[in-house]
Parts: sequence; structure tokens; C-alpha cells
Amino acid sequence: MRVMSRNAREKLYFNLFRACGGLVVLTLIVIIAYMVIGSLPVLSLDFLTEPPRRANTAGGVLTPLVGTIYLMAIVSVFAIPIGVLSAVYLSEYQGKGWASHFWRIVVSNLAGVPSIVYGLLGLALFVTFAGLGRSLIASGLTLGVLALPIVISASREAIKAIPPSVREASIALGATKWQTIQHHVLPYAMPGILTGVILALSRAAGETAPILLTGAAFYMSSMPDSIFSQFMALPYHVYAVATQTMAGMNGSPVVYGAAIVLLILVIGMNLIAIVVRKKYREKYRW
Amino acid sequence: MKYINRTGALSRVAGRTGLKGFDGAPHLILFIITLISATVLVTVAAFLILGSLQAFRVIGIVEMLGGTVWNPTSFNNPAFGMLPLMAGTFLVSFLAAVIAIPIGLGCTIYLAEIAHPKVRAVLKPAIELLAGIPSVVYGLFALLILQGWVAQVFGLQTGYVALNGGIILAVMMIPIMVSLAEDAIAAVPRELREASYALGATRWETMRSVILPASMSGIVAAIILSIMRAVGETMAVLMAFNQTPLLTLDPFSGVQTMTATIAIEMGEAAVGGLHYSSLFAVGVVLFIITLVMNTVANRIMLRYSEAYR
Amino acid sequence: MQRKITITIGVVAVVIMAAVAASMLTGGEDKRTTIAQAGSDTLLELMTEMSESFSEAQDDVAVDVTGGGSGVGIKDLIDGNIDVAQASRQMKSTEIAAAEANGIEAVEFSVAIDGIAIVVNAANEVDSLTMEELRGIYNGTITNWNQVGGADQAITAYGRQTTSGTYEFFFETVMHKEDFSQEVSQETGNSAIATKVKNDAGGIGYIGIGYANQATGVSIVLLGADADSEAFLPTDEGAVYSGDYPLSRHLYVYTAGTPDGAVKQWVEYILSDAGQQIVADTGFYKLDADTLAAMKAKL
Repeated sequence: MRVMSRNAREKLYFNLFRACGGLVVLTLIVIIAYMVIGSLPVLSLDFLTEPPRRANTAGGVLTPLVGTIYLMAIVSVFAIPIGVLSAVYLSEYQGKGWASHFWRIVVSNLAGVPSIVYGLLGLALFVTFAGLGRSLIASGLTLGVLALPIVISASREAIKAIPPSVREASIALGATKWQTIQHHVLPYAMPGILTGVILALSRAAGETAPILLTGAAFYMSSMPDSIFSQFMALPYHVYAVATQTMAGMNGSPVVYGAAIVLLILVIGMNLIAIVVRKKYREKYRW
Repeated sequence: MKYINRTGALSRVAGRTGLKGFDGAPHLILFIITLISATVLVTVAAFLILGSLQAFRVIGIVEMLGGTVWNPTSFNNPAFGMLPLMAGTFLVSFLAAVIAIPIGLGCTIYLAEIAHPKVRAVLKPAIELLAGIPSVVYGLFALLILQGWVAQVFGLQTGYVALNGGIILAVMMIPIMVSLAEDAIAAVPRELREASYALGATRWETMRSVILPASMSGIVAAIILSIMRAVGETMAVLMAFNQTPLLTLDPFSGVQTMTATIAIEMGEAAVGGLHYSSLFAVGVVLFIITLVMNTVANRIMLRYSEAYR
Repeated sequence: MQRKITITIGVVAVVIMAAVAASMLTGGEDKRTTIAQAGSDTLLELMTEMSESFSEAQDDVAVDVTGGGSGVGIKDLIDGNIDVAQASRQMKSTEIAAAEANGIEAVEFSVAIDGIAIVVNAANEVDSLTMEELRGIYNGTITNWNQVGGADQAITAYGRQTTSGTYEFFFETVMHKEDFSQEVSQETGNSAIATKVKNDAGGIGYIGIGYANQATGVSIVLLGADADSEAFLPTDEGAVYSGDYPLSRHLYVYTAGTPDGAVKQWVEYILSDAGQQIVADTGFYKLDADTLAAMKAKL
């Protein structure tokens, strides 16, 4: 049944694969193009500096944007130091025994838990049990718990990539373990850690399900005035405008505009992470 | 000298508390911080399981996992059978996988083997970027635009069907799959490839009989991990199709996934009530499903990373 | 060199984040009292517009509005999480008892009148239904439009999620607390239902009149209590006020205790002429004079 020559067959398959690649790129271009075109009538700087008006069907996205930045701030304060330092402990102090293995499994599994499950947890633990109510802090902590395993595993990867010779050299010169970590391990691992941290933050910024249950408001007439007040957040804003207002359901520019701002924020952060990683990959080649 | 003495004393204390190879205050501080994060992570699992105990005890694990009706707020006969929800999650994830696997693998092979290095240098990071797009944006697309196309192409009365969700989930899965699978192919040692060329094989033959088998475990792991994303996705499925807890595998019907059920029903369920607890039970099942998939993927991945040391 | 840059970037980022966090703790220059309100999705648009114009009318009080459904709002009020609940149904006796157990006396204020509109796709030729037929559609015994005098087309019924007050109202008034069919799609908002009915030739849904007035591509059907009685539209003001339209109802806000201070100002505004004008502007019906007087007397 050898109808086709080997080369013709190769050509056929290759074109098939090219088509697959093209299809993926095309799909994503189509999605983004729809968002961009849909949002054109409202896209301007005013859209960023104005709060939503007329029941979220007009005006800008200032309040949700600020809410999302606040959330990222809480996640940074909570998840980053704890996550990075835990990763240092786990990779530098803890041996290679069962405990280390156990932690790797726990962290990797928790990074894969669906975000709505974190929302469930946040509602039970922070909103109800800890009595924080539906608030910035409750949502921020929920997102922090979601980000923690991501920060830990990215930091561990970054630290693990440093060759033992760096540590051995430092210790041979009489440095203590902590001095070695402080002056050699952490600085060299910093780009990798930074990449992981930015990715974790962008994930937290883009999540809707966890804040849906723990404190996002449909409308606020002013900025949140404390960590115990409710907040508007971009991803929830997109969802709420899309499903709760007639304008959104009819594809109003406001809903596409909010989606584009969210996209730029999240993709921008991801882009920074990729650039940082690429730069340092080239610089430190062990 | 002083420093060493101090560490020595601390070290003896630490020895008794079981911290081996102790070296000073930083060690202790880091240890405590790690304990904090450990507590947080363990709390996730513990809280879920504790929350679900009531439902499993009162309703019974068999009834919950095997019951065919999910209607927890019914006035006359509330039912807590999770089967329709599991079927819903299975159906949309399955549809997504069927669409995403061939296209994703084709795209991976293109990226890894065919694309010009310059194209790859742009495309690979671009695809990684796309893996980071928030799910609510995909949901919005499915809600406003994709449903119209689905209805038209398949001649349906409404495009808000499981297939609409399957397609949008496939779009979300592909970047993850491509990114991970490409890593697996890139990890195949060059010697294998060169040996195959030396034997006179064409590029396609080398790919099919050497590269793909060698990287198969990594590719399978990539597929599993991307399906995991589909299983755990909430917003896109919430927005893409009609939420009806039907026990069906019809791609042209509305269904209700486990994730969407939690999102829709959690708000009102009274804390400590049976409905509340049953939603935790849904969360536990979801947790276990992702746990199993993750473990399987990790096992497979470990094998491929060990194969070519 | 590059290492220093990275560390600098890291430090700067941490400082910015810390500054943001600090500004959150100290609060802005905005010293307004904030009222937290949550609940009914049906009232979401009305209350959000109300809050906006309330903010313009005075400088002391701001109102934050969250949806989730009447059930969510009432539960939050009981738990003391919010100051005001907006609801499209009355509190149940169990909820009142739960509130009392928490030391909260929930005070009810009618704020607007609604006729729940039954909407179908604009292309659907069915223009009138009875309550009995409506029940049949939602409990699954009627599955094709030709069973109620329409074309041969499958019915897709759209309803609300169980936290919704409109769901509860429909459940009691139309379904008489019998189960809904499992085929009824649970939508998380009035506008979601309107849009899906617009895009579904066999669709039917129930939504607040304010949303039905704005929706395009759907038509509102006449609804009769039974086959013998006259059928009315929810756009018929007289029929809604008199209760002849079978799905007429009041929309409410609940406060924790008799309102005072900021909450009192807010409720007064809702009941004021300006507030009631917003009710009309968003497509709902103003309170009649008697109810309005009774509500003002409660303040």
C-alpha cells in the first residue's frame, strides 16, 4: 500500500502539523481580536481613571483595577516571604529524606487544586471561621494560600538549579551556612524566584472563583477604605458585568474593555517574568 | 569564637528537638516559617475533609457518590447524588481532551521539530503567555461569541451546550499541553536523533519512531496535566453552557460540573448545614481527582526525567 | 551589576507593595461612612444606580452593593456581615428566628414593586400562558411548545440559581414548592436569562420587569391565573398594582434593627421622590402612596 513516497508522506504530515500550529495561533488571535475590537469605543486613558457608572454599564474600571492591585499587595505580603523562605529551608536545610520528598508532593499537589476549592476553603476558614467577613483581607489570604505552593515550587526550582560548587566554595572560605545562603544562594536564585513570584501574582490577579465567594462586590461607590471592607476586582468585574447587566450580555464595549485591561495586566506580568528568566538564563550558565 | 559558642548551645537544644545539622538562629527562623506554610497547606486538606464529614456521614458515601439526582434545595425530597455532577465534569473535560489532544500534539511537533528556530523563539514564549490568560476572559468569549458559532455550525437551537464548554476548555488546555510536551521533546538527547538520521531515516520517520516514543511519557504527563486544568476550571464552564444537573453524556445538552456547582450554590448554603457540607464533599472529590491525576503525571514525568540522565 | 539591578527591582517592588498595603490600613482621605449592602440580583441594577445618585446627593455616606441572590444577602445580614440586605422575597420564619438568635432584629422595607415577566424568544408565536402551563414547563411535564399552542419546538426552560429570591418566589407561587425539572438551567442573573432566551428559539425564562423592559429579542407573554381568568402583562401597571397579574411582588431591603444614622439616611433616600424616580427609571414600579406612607412611618 505504499502509494506515497516517503518524502511526499513527510510533506503531508508536516503540513498537517503546521496547520495545527497555525490553528492554535489563529484561535488565540481571534479571541484577542474580538476583545480588542469590542473594546475600541471605550479604550482610552479615561477608562483607567474613571470609576464605573450607571450600574457598571458605563464609565471606567478604576475601582476594580485598584481592588485587584490591593489584592496583589496582600498576596505579596503574605505569600512571598513565607513561600520563598520555606523554599530556602526545604532546599538548603532539609535533607533528601522522606520529609523532603513528602513536601515536594504536598506542594506539587496543592498547586494543582482547582481554584474554586480554594474559594470554598477561604469562605469556610477566613470569612466564617476567622470572622473576617467578606473582605479584602479574606480574599487576599485565600489568594495567598493559592499562590503559596506556586511560590514555593518556583523558588525551590530556582535554588536547586544552583550548582553545589557555589555553596562548597563559600563554605570552604569559612562562611556559615546562612552567610552562604544570604550572599550566594539567594542572589543567584533571585531571577528564578522573581519569575515564580511574578507568575504567582499574575495568577492571583486573574482568578475569579476564589474571590467570588470571599468578598468581591458588584459595585462600590468609593475605594475600599480598610482591609476589612469589600472591594471590586477586575476578573470579578468582567464576570459580573457580563452576566448581571443587560449591557454586558449584549456585548457592551465596557465588558470587553474590562477584559482587555485584565489581559494587559496579567499578560504584562507574564511577559516581565519571561524576559527576566530569559535574560538570566543567558547570563548564568552553569 | 563567640558566634560558634552560641551556635553550639543552640545546636544542642536543636539536637534535642530533632533538628539535625543545626546552625544558628536563621535555621530556627526558617524552620518556623516552613512550619507556618506547612500548617497553611495542611489546613487546606484538613478543612475540606472536616467540612465534608457531615455530608458523608448523614447521606452516606455510596448515596453521595452513586446517587443519580443532585437537587439539594428541593423542598420535598432533597437529593445529594454527585453522579450527574461528575458526569458533567467528565463530559466537558472529555470533549475538551478529544479536541485538544490532536491539535495540541500537532502544534507541539510543529514547534519542536518543524518550526524555524527563530519562529520557535517567539512562538514558545507566546504560547506560555497564553497559558496565563485569566479563565474569565475565555468564559466571556464562550458566553458572547463562541456559542453563536456552535449553534450555527451544528444547527442547534442554542449554543449554550456542553460542547461549547468543551471547545473553550480545549483552547485553554492547548497552551499548557504544548508548553509541557515541547519541554519533553526537547529533553530527548541529540544522539538518538542523529543516530536515526545516520541510518537513513527521514525527519518524519525519526520523529515517529524515535523522538515521539522516547518522549512519550513526558507527553502523556503533559496531556494529563492539561486535562487537570479543564477538570478544575470554574469560570469558563459557568459561562459557557446551561447549568442543568442532568446525568447525560450528550454533548448537545446542558450539564453542570462539580466546580460550577460549588460556585453557584455555596453563597446561600447555611454554615454547618447539610447542603454546605455536601458542597465540601464535592470539593473533596474534586481534590481527590486532581490529586490522582497529579500523582500519575508526576510518576510518569519522573520516569522520563530518569530515562535520559 | 545585573544582580544589583535585580535586587533593586525586587526591593522597589516590595516597597511599593508595602506602601499600597500601608495606604490600605490608614485609609484614604475619604472619610465617608460606608454601608455594606448585598443580596438580590434583581435589585442589583436598581440599587447600584440608587447608590450612585445617593453619592451625588450628599457627601457623608457611601453604599457598596453586592449581588449573590436574596438568600446570600439575608444570610449575610443574619451573620452581621452587612448593614442592609436587598431581597426580592420576604424573609422566611426560619431566617427571622436565626437573626433573633444572633441578636439582630431585621426590619423590612418595601422599596419597589415588580411583576416577574415571563419572556420567550421573539420568534415564538405563543403569546399567552396560564400558571398551570407555566408550572408544567418548569416541572418537565410540558417539553414542547406545541403542547401550549405553539410550533413544534423543544422548550428550554431557564431559571435562576437557588440563592435567588426570584427563584424562591417562583418556587412558591408557580411551583407550589414542587420540584423543578432537572432540565431547568440555573442562571446567575436576570440578564443571563434574557440573553439566553434571545439566543434560543425555544427558550423561556422569568425575569424582573426592570430587565424585561430593557431586553431585546425577547417578548413578554400574557399570564393568566387559570384558563378561565383574564391574562395580563407585567407591563400593565394597573394589573401589577392590583395583584391581578399573578406574579406581582414587592421588592425589599432589610436593615439590622430600626435604621439610624447613615442607614436611616439611605433608606430615606430610597423612599424619597428622587429614589422612587430611580425605581421607575430602571423599569420597576414605584411604591403606591399607601405603602410608601407605611414604610416612612417605620423609620
